[in-house]
Amino acid sequence: MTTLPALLWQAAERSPDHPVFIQGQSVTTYAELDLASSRMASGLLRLGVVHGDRIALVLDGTVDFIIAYYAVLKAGATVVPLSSDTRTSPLVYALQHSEAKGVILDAKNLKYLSGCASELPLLALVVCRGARRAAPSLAQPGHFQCMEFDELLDRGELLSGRVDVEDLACLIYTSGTTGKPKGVMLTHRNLVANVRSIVQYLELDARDRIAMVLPFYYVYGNSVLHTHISVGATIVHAGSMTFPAQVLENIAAHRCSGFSGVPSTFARLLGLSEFEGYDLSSLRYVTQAGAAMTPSLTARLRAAVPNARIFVMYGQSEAAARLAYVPPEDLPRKLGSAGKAIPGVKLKILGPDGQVLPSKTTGEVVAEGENIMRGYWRDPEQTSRALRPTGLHTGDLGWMDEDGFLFLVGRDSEMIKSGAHRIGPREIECVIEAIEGVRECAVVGVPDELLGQVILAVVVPAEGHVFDRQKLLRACLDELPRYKLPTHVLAISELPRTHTGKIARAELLELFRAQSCE
Amino acid sequence: MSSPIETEIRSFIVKNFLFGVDDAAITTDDSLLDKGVIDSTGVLELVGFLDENFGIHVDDNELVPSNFDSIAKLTAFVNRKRG
Repeated sequence: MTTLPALLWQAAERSPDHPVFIQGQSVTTYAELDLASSRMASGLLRLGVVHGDRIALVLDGTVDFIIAYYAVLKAGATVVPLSSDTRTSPLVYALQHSEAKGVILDAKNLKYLSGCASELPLLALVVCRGARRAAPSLAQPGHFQCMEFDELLDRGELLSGRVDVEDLACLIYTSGTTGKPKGVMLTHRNLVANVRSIVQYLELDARDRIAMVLPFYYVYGNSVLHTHISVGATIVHAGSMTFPAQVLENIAAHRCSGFSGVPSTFARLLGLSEFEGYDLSSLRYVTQAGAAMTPSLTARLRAAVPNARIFVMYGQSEAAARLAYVPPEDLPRKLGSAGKAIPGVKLKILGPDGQVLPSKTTGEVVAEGENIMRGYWRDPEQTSRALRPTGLHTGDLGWMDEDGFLFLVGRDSEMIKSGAHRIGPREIECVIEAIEGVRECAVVGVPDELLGQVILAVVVPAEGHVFDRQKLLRACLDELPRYKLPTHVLAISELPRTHTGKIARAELLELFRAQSCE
Repeated sequence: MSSPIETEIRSFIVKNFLFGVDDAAITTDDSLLDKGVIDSTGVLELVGFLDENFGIHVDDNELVPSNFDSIAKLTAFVNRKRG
C-alpha cells in the first residue's frame, strides 16, 4: 500500500511533460503540479504546519485546488475540502469542528471570516487565492497570519513532511438528516484502496482524458481526481453545468475519453436541443453516481453515447466513494441496480438483529473493505453507530439478487438530493425558524424534472406577521449557500403532524401537489 | 448612463437572485457565476425572463458565459438578438 503523494510522484516520474490539468488555454503538466505542490508543502512546513494538522481548502475547481490538496498531503497534514459556495456559519463551523490550523480560500470567501477571529483560536494561517483587495471586508485578521497563494510557494530548499499510509489524508464533511455535518475520516490507505479498485474496473490509463464538471470537494469529485492522477491521465476543466453547451463543447474540443456526472447532469445534457450536434465519439467511459438514476434516463444515455461504456455506481463518503458498480455489459439486464461490490469490497444485507439475510430480502446494506473510513471526526457516538464488528452500516435499505447485484429501496429518507447536492433539511429549517416573523418551518424535497429534487419550505408565520417570501429568501441567502435556498415556499397556518407529534412530511408533499394543481 | 434594457436586466437579477437587496454591489462587468449570483437553475430563470420580457428565444448553444455571465454581456446579447 502506498500514499496519495507517492502516486502523484510516480506519475510525474513516468511522464513529467504529460498534461495533468487543462483549463481553457492553460495546461499544467505532471512535473509542474509535482513541483508546485512540493513548494507549497515546503511553505506550509516552514510556517509551522506539522504532521496531522488539518488544513481546509475552500477553493473553486481550478489547478490551484489540486496544487493545494497535494501540498497539504506532502506536508503530512490532512485536507479538509469544503464547498467554495459557502457562508460564515458553515465555514466557521467546519473550521472549528476540524480544529483547522490553516485555511486556503478564494478571495471572494475571505469576507466570511471577517470578525470571526475570536471564534477560531486554533486557526493560525489564512491563505488567500486571488487579490485580497477583492475582499476588503476582512478588517482585522486577528491572530492568524494572512498571506496570498503565490507567497506560499516556497522558493527555498524543498522540505517534505512524514506521510504514512495510516495517516488521515482527508476529512470530508457530509450532511446528515439531523444535526451538524459529520467529518468522515479517510486515510491514505482508504483512498488508495478505492482508487485501485476504480482504476481496475474503469480500465483507466494515462491516455484517458476526463471532462470534469464535478466539484473536487465532493467525495465523487475527490475520487475522480485521485483515480486519474494515479494513472497519469489528464483532467479537463469542462466548465460549469450552468452553461451545459460549453461542457459538451469542451468534451468535443479536447477529445475527452471520460465523463462523470450525477443523474441531473445527464438529464440536463440530454435535454439540450443541440446535443446531437456535438461530436462525443471520443467518450470511452461515462460514470454516474451520487443518486439513483431512473432506468429511462439510463436508457436515453446509452442511446445518446453508444460508443461509451456506461458505469452506474453506488457508494458513500464513508467508503472513500465507491462500494458497487454495474459492469456496462450487465447494464441492460440489471437496470435499476446499484451494482455489485467493487474489487476489494464485500457487501451484505443484514436484518435488524445483525443476521445475514437471504437474497431478495430487504435489509440494511453493510460493507467491508480497506476503503471503509476510520470513523467520524470527534464523534465516537456516530462512529460506533456506523462502524460495527459487522462492517460499515450504510443506513441504506436494499436487497440483493442471486447474482450479488444490489437494489436499493430507500436511502436516508429525509435527505434532499438536488443535483449533485445532498442536503439535510434540518439546517435549512433552523435558518428559517430563526427569521423574525416565522413560527415554525418544515423543509422537504419535492420532485423536479431537472435536479431530481428541489427544496420546499413550508412556513407557519408567527401571529401578527404577514408572510413575505422575498424577505424570507433574502434572510436565507445571508446564511445559506444558494443551492440550499428553497425553490418553493408555502405559508400555512399549522404544520401537519403524526400522532406522535412528528411532522408528517408526506402530507407536506401532498399539500404542495394540491397547490401546484390549483 | 445605463440603457433601459440594462436597467431591466439588473432589476430582474436584484429582485430574483439577491431578493431585492443589491448589497453585493454587482457591477455591470462582474461575473455573475464567480460572484455566486447565478447557478444552473438561475440561468434558466434568466432564459425565461429574456423570453417573456424581450421576446427573445435563447437557443441551447447560445447559453454560454459570453452571453450570460454579466449584466453587460446580457445587455449586449439582447441588443444583438433584437438586431
